[in-house]
Amino acid sequence: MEQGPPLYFEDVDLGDEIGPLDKTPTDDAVEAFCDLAGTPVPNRFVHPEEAKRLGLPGPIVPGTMSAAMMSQLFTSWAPTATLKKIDVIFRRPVLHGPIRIAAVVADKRVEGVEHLVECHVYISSQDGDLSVGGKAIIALPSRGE
Amino acid sequence: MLELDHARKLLGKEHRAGPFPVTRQLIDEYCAVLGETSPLYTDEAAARQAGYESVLAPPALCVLFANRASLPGVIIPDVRSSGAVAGLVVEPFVTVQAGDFLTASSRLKEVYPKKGRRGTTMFIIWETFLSNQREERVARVETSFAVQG
Repeated sequence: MEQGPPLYFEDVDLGDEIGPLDKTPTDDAVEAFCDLAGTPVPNRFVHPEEAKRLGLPGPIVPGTMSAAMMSQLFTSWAPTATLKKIDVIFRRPVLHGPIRIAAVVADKRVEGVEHLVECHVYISSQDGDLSVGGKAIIALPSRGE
Repeated sequence: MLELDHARKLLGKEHRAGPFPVTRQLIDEYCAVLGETSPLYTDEAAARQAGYESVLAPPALCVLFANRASLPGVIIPDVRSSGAVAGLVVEPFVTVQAGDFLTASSRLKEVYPKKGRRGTTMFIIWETFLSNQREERVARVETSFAVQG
């Protein structure tokens, strides 16, 4: 998803969709992420035998990596968007392979000097099953500023 | 079965880690792994044009350091071996850029059991505040682990 043009609070409406952002966390990408995070080995993210030992169908994407990719949806949205908070719940493991990240604008409000947009955000698998869901709050500039 | 009383004795105790350097190389590698292409994170000239000294760290990068802070010295062994991350909150306050140093201060915020169809699950909530070299709080990270009791 290429970064869009500058976006203002007034440009956004309830129900607007953000994305989708299609990503494919590969075995190599997950291993590289775990290396950056200093994740101890063996682990359920990279090692199939460890994933199997824990009853998982295969190595999974770390929750921190899923959240990072969800954040990217908003940083890619517009150069004027500032992520204020993302709060996600991991409903089921995210397996390596294609995923889709998308969001819907659920609320808009002004708090003090900040113009905030609240979104429902989720990751779904190739089959359309919801794996991770949550909400994000993004600040946008106002045309009136 | 987890030792709930023992875990509760750890509530509020601070675990510090760092300082961790936020290098240009770390940001580059993080962006490469995630396919992040926003110019503020990947293009020094664009970041400078926007008024920063160097490229910015994507907002969720600070989670890398939050996790390191809570690893040692916490006596709930099942959490790391078979616990699953149930939830994650990232709340950036201040932009982080290449050249910054971050220190993590983590504490066990909450431990509580919840009964469900599969039995009792223990929820263990860690909260980490990350501060930069100017002692500004740059982000809050809250990680929830779910452990089958």
